[in-house]
Amino acid sequence: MRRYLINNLIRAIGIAFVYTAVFLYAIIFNNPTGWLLFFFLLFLLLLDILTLLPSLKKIKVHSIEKTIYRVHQSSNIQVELFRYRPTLLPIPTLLVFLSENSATNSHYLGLYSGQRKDLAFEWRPSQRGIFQELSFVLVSTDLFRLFSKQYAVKAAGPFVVMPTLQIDVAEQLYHQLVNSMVNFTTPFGNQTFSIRNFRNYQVGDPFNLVDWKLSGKRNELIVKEYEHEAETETYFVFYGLAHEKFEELVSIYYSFIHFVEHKLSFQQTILADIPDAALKEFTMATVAPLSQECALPSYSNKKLVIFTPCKTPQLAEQLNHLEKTNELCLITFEEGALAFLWKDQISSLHKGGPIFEK
Amino acid sequence: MKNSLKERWPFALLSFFILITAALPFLKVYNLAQANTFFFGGMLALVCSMTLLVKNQLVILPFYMLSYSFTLYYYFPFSRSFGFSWFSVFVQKMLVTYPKMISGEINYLPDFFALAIILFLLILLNVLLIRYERWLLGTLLLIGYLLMLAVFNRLNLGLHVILITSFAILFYGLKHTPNWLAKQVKLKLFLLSSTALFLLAVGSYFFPVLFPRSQIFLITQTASIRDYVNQQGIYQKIEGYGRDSLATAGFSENDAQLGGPLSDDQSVLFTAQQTSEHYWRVETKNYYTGKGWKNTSEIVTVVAEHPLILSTNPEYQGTLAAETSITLTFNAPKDYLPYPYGTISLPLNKLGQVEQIKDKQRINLTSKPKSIQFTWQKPTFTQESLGQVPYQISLDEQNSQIPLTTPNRIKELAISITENQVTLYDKVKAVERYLKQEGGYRYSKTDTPFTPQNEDYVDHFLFESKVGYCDNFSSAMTILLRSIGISSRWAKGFSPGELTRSENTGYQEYTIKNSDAHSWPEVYFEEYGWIPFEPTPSFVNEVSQATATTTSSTEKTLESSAETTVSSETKNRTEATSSNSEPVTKKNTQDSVSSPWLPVLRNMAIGLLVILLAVGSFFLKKYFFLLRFSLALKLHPKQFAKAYSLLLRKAEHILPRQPDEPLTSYAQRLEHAYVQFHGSFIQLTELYEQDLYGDVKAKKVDYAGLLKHTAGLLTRLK
Repeated sequence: MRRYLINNLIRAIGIAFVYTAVFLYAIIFNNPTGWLLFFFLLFLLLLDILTLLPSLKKIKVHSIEKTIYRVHQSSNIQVELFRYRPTLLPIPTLLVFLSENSATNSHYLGLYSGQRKDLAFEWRPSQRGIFQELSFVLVSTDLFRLFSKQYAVKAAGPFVVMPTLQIDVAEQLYHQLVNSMVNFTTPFGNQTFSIRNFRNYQVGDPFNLVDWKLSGKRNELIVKEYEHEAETETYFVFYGLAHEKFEELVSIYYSFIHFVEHKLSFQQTILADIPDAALKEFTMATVAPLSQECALPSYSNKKLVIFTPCKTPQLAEQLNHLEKTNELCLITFEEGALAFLWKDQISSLHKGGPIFEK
Repeated sequence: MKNSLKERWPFALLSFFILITAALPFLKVYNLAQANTFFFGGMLALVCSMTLLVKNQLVILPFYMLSYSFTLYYYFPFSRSFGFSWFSVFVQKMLVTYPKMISGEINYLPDFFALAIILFLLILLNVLLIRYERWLLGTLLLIGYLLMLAVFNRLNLGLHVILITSFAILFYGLKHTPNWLAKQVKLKLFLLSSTALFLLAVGSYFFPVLFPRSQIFLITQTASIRDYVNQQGIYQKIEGYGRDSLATAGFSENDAQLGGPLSDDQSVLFTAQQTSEHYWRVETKNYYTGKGWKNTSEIVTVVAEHPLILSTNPEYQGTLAAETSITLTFNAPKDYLPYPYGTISLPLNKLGQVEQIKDKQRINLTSKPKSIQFTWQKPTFTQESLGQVPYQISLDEQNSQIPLTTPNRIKELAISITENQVTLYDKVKAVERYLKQEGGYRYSKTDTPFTPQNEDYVDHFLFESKVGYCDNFSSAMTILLRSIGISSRWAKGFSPGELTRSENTGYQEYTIKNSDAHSWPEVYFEEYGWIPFEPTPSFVNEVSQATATTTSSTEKTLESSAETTVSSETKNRTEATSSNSEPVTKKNTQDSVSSPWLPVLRNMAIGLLVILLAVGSFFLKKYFFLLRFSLALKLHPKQFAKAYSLLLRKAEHILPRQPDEPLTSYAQRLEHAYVQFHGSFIQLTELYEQDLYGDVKAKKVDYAGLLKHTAGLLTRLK
């Protein structure tokens, strides 16, 4: 039985005990004091129960903003509380909280009768995914706060909960990657005619890139940077094997992609169970481990960064095969710690817990 | 500090109110109020505010002690100045009183002792309420105390009790109001609950006045509980508290003022060794004052003859039953002699002086012997023979006296009861039956009210209170009979008592307690003398029915229906205890052939009606819309738009519509949510829009069936 029901029961027993005592007193001694007290208590209880009557079922909670939430990361969630028709009697006190994280972060409304109220809650989702509804708990009490009743109301979603963002891990990983693979960030490919940028001349720039017209006007050397049309050679592969570290890997991969999104041009390959309905940008919210190992696509002449929770023999064999034609780097867990494997070098990454957005 | 003070001052204020409300009646009861209530209130306020302000134990404890002793000094200075000498005197006085209270020398709480205790309790509760915000124990204790005060001192402390309850509830509400609620809302809630409490208090005060029946109903339904408590002697203990002599509630000598509740006294008066049970008469009274009974003359004569032959029916010439002996053993010496109906022969040699008051039929045993033995012969007249005595207006003025102040409606009632009866016996029996069963009178020792100052005792019982015990019933029967000219008088004594031991020799031991004290009427029958009757419900007297057990069964069948139950009644004999009253009431319902089924049938009909109403209201709630809708269709079959708006409003209850949502999109949404409409609602909406904007009047053939179908679907949804 739920806690508030037990509380109510205990109170009801206490009250019944007092009422019986008063009633017995009234009928045994048959004096005006006893009868007055008895009727007073009787009416009191009736009124109290009357004020407990307004239904909570018709109170609606709507979320009014669409944001992305992240696991174990608190963010504000804005909701609107209202009733289509106002209650006949106002609800003396109404407590609203998110059913997930207890009453610590809750709103109290006094004498609520169905007006529109904007409420902000702090939400720390504990699970990744796209949720169609979020459950809020409404607790109302009677006028004298003797009894309470509870109702779980669902706010319609979708609420997208992405994995935990670990920017520092992503940054470490990125630096490690840049340090190990020297030409990781260098753009390659054929120059196009569209100009990406104008900048000051630096020593080493070819002279045919200098925009003489502009340099004449500005009285300094200005260089044209052309866009390079290159086949993306960097591939980030997420190989989602079923493993205890899966969730952690999801978080690290998500953070890493989040980090490098505007720094590099790359392509992603996600090898995991993805629900059909999921939108592309929310893949990492819904991704689930593979039910069985699958073959990696055959890449050639690529920079491959493979994220996997563990290195299975089958994977090792495939990697050996890929290593011959690609520049390959593996990010996995070695003895519980995040490790970076590149050309027989293993360097473990210090992971100081999730530090969120910088 | 300032903040906590800001939060806690309402609690302190409410606590002060709770404490002062409890203290005021106490001061009044102990007559301390005349000193100065303001001093006490001020002291209490000071203590409360100090508890609120000062947290340091080293400061507050001496302050409590000082204010405690100073308040005691203020009320009981013992003409000394405030200091150690006064304190030692006070302590000494307490020490002297305490063993006296323990030993029972003082059986009440002296005022200074009570004040010392109560003041201590108040200071303790003040700490509990203000410092620790524990409200439950303190208030329950105080309310319990006030309730007891109300019982022991016969005070009406309803207002105080309600005030304390209200303050406690506000205290609780304040405590459970979350701090982060806006101050304005908090204040609103507080004001709302205070107003509600005030209205409730007013309502509960006027409720019993406006609807007295509810309280009376509760009182009548619970009479047996009070009887039980009465039997346990609790009322008597409460009445006896604080008095030097216990108020005797049982056989009393003074009957000039009757009425009011009676508390049971279970002390044993005497035991009797005898062969059969019977009533014990002690004396009779014949002068009714309008308030109670008296005797016109009380001439005491010393009995000289030996042995004393005493007969309750000296006029009776018929046969008497065989002689048996009765041995009485008194528990405490008593000067009266309880004796059975019939002829007794009392040997005087061992009894010392015996006096007789002829006018009262009373024997006084001046030497108060511990035990008495006498012989007894029961008269054996039959009911038929009594029935042969003709009814005529009595010339015996003494025994048909009625005070002039007695209202005439008693006589009218008596005539209406007896007009269909011819013989004296039938008339008397009719009155007896009326009081016992038909009149709707209730037997209760505890619920009997006192007779108002300007009203007649019998009249008040017969027409107003309708609740009473033996005194009411017996007096009423006597006066009713006297009003139609039948000689009757009031007899008092004891009911047969409780059978405590039965021996093989045929002798049984009966124990008669003070609570067995009883009264009943006697009626004079020519040639038979004074015959006792029993109008009190749950009591059965054997004497007038003695013959029923001896008469043969053929005779019984000839008797009226009321009499046939007599033999069974005597078997199922009942005692003065209410717990045994059940078999008699059961018999009563069997007595009259037609009446028993009526109340049962009525109750069943009421129960059935309630169930039907409940079921009906459930269906009405469910199908109210359909009913209303079809009615609207019947009345205005042409108004499609109106019918549609009715449907729409109903649908909006099920699925709310945004204020600016077009009807068609709403209809789509509804159909999407509830597939069972199968397009009917959309169709209706289209028709409606066409009707409204398209200037194409919808044909009745198109919509009539559709409307009904959709209405039915909507009803089922809810």
